[in-house]
Amino acid sequence: MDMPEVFRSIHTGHAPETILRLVATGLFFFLLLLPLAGLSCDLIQAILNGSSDIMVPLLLTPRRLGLLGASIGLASAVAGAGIIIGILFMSALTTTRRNLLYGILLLLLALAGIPPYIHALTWSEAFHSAAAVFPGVPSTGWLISFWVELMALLPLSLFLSWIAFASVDTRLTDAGRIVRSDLQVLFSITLPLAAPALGAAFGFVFLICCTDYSVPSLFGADVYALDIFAQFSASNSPSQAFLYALPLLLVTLIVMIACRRGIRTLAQTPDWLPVRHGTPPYYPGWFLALQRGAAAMVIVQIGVLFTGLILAIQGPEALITSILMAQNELMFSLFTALLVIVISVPLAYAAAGELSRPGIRGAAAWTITLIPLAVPAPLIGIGMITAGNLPVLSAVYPGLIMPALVSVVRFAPFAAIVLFIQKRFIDPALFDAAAVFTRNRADTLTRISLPLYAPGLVVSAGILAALTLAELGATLIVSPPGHATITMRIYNYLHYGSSSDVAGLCMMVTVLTLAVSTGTILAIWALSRHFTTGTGKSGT
Amino acid sequence: MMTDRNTTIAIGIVLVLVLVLATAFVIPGQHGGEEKERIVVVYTSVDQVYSEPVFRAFENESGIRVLPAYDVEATKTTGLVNRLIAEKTRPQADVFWSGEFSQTIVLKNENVLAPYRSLSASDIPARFRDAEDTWTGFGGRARIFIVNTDLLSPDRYPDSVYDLLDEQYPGPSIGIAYPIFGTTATHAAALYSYLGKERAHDLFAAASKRNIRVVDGNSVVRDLVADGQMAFGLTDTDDACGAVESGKNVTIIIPDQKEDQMGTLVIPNTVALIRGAPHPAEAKIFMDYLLDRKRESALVDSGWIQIPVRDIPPSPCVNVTGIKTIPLPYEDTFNALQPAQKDLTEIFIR
Amino acid sequence: MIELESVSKIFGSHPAVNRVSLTIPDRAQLALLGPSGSGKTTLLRLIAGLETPDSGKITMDGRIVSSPDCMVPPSERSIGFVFQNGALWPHMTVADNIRFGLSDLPSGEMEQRTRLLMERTGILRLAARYPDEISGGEARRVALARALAPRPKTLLCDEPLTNLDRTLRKDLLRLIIDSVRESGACMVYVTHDEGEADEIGGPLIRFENGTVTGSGI
Repeated sequence: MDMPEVFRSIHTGHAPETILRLVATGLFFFLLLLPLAGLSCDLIQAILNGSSDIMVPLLLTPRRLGLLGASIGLASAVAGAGIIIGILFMSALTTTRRNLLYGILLLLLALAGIPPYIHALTWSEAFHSAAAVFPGVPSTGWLISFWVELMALLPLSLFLSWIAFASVDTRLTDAGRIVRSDLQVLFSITLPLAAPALGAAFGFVFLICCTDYSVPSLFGADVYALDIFAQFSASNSPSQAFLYALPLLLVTLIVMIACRRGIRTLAQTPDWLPVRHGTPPYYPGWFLALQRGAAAMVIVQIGVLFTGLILAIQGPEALITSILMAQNELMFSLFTALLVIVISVPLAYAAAGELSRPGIRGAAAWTITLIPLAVPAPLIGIGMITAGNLPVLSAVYPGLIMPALVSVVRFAPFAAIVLFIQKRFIDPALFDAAAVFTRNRADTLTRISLPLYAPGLVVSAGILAALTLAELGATLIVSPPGHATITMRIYNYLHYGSSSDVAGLCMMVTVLTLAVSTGTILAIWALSRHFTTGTGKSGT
Repeated sequence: MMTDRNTTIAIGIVLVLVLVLATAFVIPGQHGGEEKERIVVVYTSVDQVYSEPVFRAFENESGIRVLPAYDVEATKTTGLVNRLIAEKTRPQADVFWSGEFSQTIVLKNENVLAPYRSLSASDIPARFRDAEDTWTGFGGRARIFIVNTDLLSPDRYPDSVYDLLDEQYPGPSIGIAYPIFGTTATHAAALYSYLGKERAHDLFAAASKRNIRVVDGNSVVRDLVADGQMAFGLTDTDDACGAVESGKNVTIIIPDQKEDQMGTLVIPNTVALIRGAPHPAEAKIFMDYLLDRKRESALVDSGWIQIPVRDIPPSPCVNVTGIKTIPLPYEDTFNALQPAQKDLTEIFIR
Repeated sequence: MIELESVSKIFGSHPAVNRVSLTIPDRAQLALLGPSGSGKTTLLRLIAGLETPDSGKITMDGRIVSSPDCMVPPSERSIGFVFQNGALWPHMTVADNIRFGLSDLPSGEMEQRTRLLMERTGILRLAARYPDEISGGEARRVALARALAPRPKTLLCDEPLTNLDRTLRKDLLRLIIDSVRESGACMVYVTHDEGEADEIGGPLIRFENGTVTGSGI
């Protein structure tokens, strides 16, 4: 008797992975759609109730258009400047020793884990001190908002710029160096080749900046995201706030889809953490000055942050006290970050394949992946609760997993896009070879797939951990009573005005992120060494 | 041989992952050990530094464990209230303890609250209690000016909210928090209700035109005035008292206290029982504890409230004896809140 | 003439090139033969200026171009380089890949030279195509045309025919040899294939563990 198709394929070998991949992909998109479904239910209910205000959010008044324009302008300027500084800084690090480069990248990741608002507060203090010495130095306004937002997002911009630079095959730049100056090679070869990943980096930073109201509002600049909150606060209606967020969503989608066109054309096959030796590039004086300027900005950013924090900490006893008081929050934050990585990375790994698909299916996958990125954080939380109220999902809410799930919804798309980029880099022939030569599927996974994907997985895990540690808006809404994250604690102290405790906790977040990411890198390095030794063939 | 080791390691990794996931699912956050341990879930917008000691003291006294969920100023008070509304069909909280009243009335109107008249509240004047007993007010904070004494001499101290428009103070030297959020929104709503929409609109529109600094919260107003970045600003007594007590060169002025002036807004804390609360008995015990006269006194001592609703000594940080308040029922202020927020959004967010 | 004097390059603790001294006369077509991992590619990269020697020096026509203290940029050494697998720039057409090294020429001359090289290497019909639209063999032809375009004095070939079938390798090797002869450049051709090395017809240097182990014709 003939076996049904599905059983036949299981019998012949590949179906279990296929099924697993399908399930994981399905789960990824299901999770992403969950809060949106919750918000949609609320919206439908509002329409059925005949809510008279439901059309109002869709009318873009001149005031709202102005805010939207200002938000787009600010986000474009911040993302553009961040990427330019990233290009200058990373172009200076092309032949840096690997260990030093790792150190810099880990520091950047750790700094990205500090909430932007804290960066902003240390800068506010710096401006105030500067105004005391140089009267007339402005301390509010768009220019200051731009600067502080740029500084707050600089660690992430630099990190993403590094990914873009690392995506360029050095053989291609070497081929250019033979016939043209290093500067011409940078502009004609490196940057065009890095452009897709740089575009994606621009998109990420643009997105984060566009949805942040905290930094601009601290410096008296009003943005569209603040208007969404004002409407939410006035109406207590998530569906209305969601409708208010639609224009921002549309802008984000346009920007990210434009970037996605670039991402899909990547055609390189590099190792993301290669040993990059070779003669350092020769750049003209003016370009070296720009590079040094960029490096100086990075140093100033780190300097202002740490000086601000250290000055605020009133002695080691105060630091130890604030750390001891926040032990539970610390454990919960770490647990949540770990959970987000554990859930997001495998799902994003599976979903990355869906993003590679051509046609409508691929476009739909991209759209679903990008939407949660532009939905304000508290709405994600509210949407998840609405969905969690369904009997079928009652196991997840309330529960320790819920804060992790909202971060998965908000940040797993980043991981999926990173892994999608990584997937574009890997020669498919390597997987074909693995299918032919390895003895079983576990071998293929542990010896071929995971090592090939390792850089992308590590980068994804790092970004997920940093963003999760700094998350507030959605976590606050769904955190189980009795459990709070370190960021929630920081914001609580912030309101109380205990700058010493805030500084102590921020220092702890930085040190902790550094320690955890260093530990992760070392563990993966040790594992990959183990597996490489296991094959007995590689390593030369 | 090596493959066996690899498999062992792979299995080990998978086991760790499964364990982490299982922990997240199996420990559902608030129900752990419920059978042995009595718990009460309290959602609060009161700062953790003030509310946590109350919870700890309650735990020690009653043996009931408090599982708190805190709001933070940074989310513009959209956090817990919307969470409670979203949880309406499957309540997770037992008690809502708010630092003000308007969000509590929102919850009452959304049918999130259940009536409970606590015996501990019998000495609280009726105007601080909801007619249907869905909430009870206690311990208040007042809206006041915090003034930098290095920048302004006593003869130039502001004494009315109309001083926001006084030409002697440059606009950017005056600060308020966004009047769309938090207690500043409630204060603005009281002004809209008392002065009428037109006069209140004109007041805020003129202030906006003068480029007064609109900042990200009452604590930021306090910090900027204390740092000397602004001459004075409108904030809450708890924020201002913090700066006074930490020795900053600031003083507190209660606005509109003269005979022909309207008075200021005093905002009481409110506490309410959640409809369908999972632990109603414990919730009532907690509410009785919180509404007890001794607790109000302790909260004055801790610096969270300055104006008790009962006859107990007020905070020494600011003289509130005979404080004149805007003569409005809380419901009126609440009713003006949403239209005021919409109008102020048009004025201030542009 | 290119001279290497006791040139060494160490990666970590591993000497990739160890005290190599070598003279490459003008117009010579030299084959560098050695197994994989013997340091041949590093030697070529040192000559090209893509690596800085840890000790020793390299001179070109009597001028020091590489030493631990002094490096002349690769683009100022008048060299052409054919990389393994071509290393064509994926964002440029075939014609743009070749044109890239001709920026100093006036546009008319640049077009003429590009066309000539494409004709010579049999890729004229591919001018408007992108690297991912051509075959492996065609890519090597483009890489050769690109390397020869700026009329280099020295052509460095790093196993340029790897992964091609025997017939194609033979044809392309002939094309490389003829093109280099025609251009009057000298050539250093790295290979691990004895047959290819013999085919070059010039001096043969045997290279192993980073050092020259023998030479002959």
